[in-house]
Amino acid sequence: MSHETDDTRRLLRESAADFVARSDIGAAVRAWRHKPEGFDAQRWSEMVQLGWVGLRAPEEAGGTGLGLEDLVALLAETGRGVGPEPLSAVGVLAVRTLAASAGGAQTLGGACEGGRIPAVAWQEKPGALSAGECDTRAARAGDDWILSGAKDFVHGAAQADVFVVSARAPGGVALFELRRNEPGLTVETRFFTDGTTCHRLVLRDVRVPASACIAAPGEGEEALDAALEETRIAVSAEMLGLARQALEMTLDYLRQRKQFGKAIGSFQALQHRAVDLYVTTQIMQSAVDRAARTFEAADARERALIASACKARCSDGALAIAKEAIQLHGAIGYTDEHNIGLYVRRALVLASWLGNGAQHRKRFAALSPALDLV
Amino acid sequence: MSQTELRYDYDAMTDAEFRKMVRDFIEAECPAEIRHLPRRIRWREVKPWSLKLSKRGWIAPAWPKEYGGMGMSVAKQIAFVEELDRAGVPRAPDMGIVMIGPLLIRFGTEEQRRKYLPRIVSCEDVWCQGYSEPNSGSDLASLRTEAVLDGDHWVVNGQKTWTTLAQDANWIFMLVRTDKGAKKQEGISFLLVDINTPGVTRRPIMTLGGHEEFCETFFDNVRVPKENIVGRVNEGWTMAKALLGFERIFLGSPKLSQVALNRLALLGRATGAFKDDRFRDKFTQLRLDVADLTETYARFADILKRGEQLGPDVSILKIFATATYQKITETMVETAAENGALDEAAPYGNETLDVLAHYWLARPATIYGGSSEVQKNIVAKAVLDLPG
Repeated sequence: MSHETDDTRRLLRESAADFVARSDIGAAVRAWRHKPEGFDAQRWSEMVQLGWVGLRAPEEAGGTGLGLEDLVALLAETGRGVGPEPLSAVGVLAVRTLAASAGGAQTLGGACEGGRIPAVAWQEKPGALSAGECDTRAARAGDDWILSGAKDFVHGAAQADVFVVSARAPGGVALFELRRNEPGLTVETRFFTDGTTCHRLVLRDVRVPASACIAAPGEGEEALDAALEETRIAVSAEMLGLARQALEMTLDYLRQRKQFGKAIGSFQALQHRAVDLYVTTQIMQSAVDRAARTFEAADARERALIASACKARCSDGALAIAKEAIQLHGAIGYTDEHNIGLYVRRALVLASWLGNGAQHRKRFAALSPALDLV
Repeated sequence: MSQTELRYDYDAMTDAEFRKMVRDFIEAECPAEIRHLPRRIRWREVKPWSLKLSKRGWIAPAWPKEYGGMGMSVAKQIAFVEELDRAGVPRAPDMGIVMIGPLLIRFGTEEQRRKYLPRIVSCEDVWCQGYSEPNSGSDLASLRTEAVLDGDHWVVNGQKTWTTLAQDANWIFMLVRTDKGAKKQEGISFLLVDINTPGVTRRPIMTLGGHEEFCETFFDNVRVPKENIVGRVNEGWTMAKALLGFERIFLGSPKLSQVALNRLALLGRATGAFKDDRFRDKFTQLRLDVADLTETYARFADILKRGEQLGPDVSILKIFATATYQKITETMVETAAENGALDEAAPYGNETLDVLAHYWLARPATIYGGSSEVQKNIVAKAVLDLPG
């Protein structure tokens, strides 16, 4: 690693740590949870200014043009704050999808400078893992396209002004840009357990011009799959950050809480459980490091394997630490007023997003012959 | 000093050249029948190979050249060990090379170095380690084997146990109590004892794996020359601790898990277990454990390669490595069904596999070299800053 990249990552970590430390984590999350607006526009624009949203966009598109190892360094720090801002949904999934789409440049530039907020609507059924699982249809009508179908589990779209929607056309899966107020498009808002928005889109004969098709039939699937794989690693880095923070909060509690005349953290039964959680964070870090280091040079099949290995480890690790954090906090850990619950809720959401541990182990096994050992 | 046939500047070689040189030598010289053994090898079996390494100047990769070592960087030392591991080269009784040699180089007198080091390099002397006692295991500093000065000799009385391959050794280095009044860590000295001195008796102990891997070693008025103490009297504990470096990462090596995972894959293919979803999920989980263990090991190895010291957090490597290793061997037993209860190898396709040999080999991994529980105590206090 050169000194320059070393410095870049250190600066990213420091500014992210500073960003998290500047606000009261509990207040920042509670102020916006279960609200349709989703997050603080001011904080989002600060993230844009810091270059975080366009971190993975090429410089010629208005981005920062940094690598995946830089991205995970950033997200492992911001992840500690469990803020509702959609850094992975917009800054990774949307940015990478647009960057890989022939017609994505304009929206990508807007996202990087903050004027636009794109969200990707690709998933239809729970448990879907790939762009090819797409029943939404796109049919030609003269020069226009007509789209019909439904999308679900759209992350980070609370303030999205444009949706990148996948649809199956005669030549394969294509990607389209739809304005939020597009006639025929219904946007329903639900909430995930961490209070962030979960959107469902219903498309009833939505008619868009040819220029709305940003990735041609057949090209959209590859662009989207590549972005999904990378987002799995990004979300894993966020889970690493939240797991570390949840562990540190738990350790603080073990040091302070007194019963039977001493700090409960002096009890060996609890110390060993705390160490097990620490081991888990270390192993998660290894999974994220390896994925970030090897992903960009890998081919499509290897990328799926790398992303699955990473997401399986981090999903399971974050959930394990979350549930132990509740137990080690005792009754206060089960209350909504204590911040540890914010970490448990976020762990549940991120662990399931883009595939949980069991799904990814299954995919890993399916993609990889038994002989071909890691 | 034994003369080596070849004098390379190993650090001037590229990593690839160096590895190829090591690999070629192993392929040409290390017999297949001693490789990939699921047990500790005995000295009589491994001696011919050790002599070849000795003759080549490769018996002590971590030692400086002036003492007959390879005098190379930590990065090259790690590459060397990795190549031996990859080829399944057995670990000879190597306490002279990994423990007492480095200790003498660092703390010994010039006379001690001249006396002992050449005989280690030439394989004339085989050393064993006398640390644990029947009542001093995890709490090693409570040890009670005593050495009392009588004229020009220390008189040693007491008992050591779990002395690995003491029956193959002719020297033992040991921690002995030389001041009963001091705080327990402060009254301990480091003593070198010729195992054939009158009063030393060894009783081999049979393990669950069916091998006589270690001994009980008894000391009954054993007279040891006064000059056989290393460093200053009552400073043995500090010296023994100062030696922990490469060994701490060695115990967290992914090698044993990698080998066991390969055997589990063989079992899965031969029995058709890969068609079973439950086995596939379990196998994949173990496989990812091994992948992440390998990455974690590399992360700690990088610290050493940069010339920095390992912190107490390296304990997590041993905790995770040994837990993973055990889980793999337990899955082997489960997958093998009745063959997992056999005291011998069973045929699988063109190969045979002794499932229980792997299972038994894995059991003590969480006990030796600081049990997992002791490692967790260390991490809890020294890394997580939890109260005593």
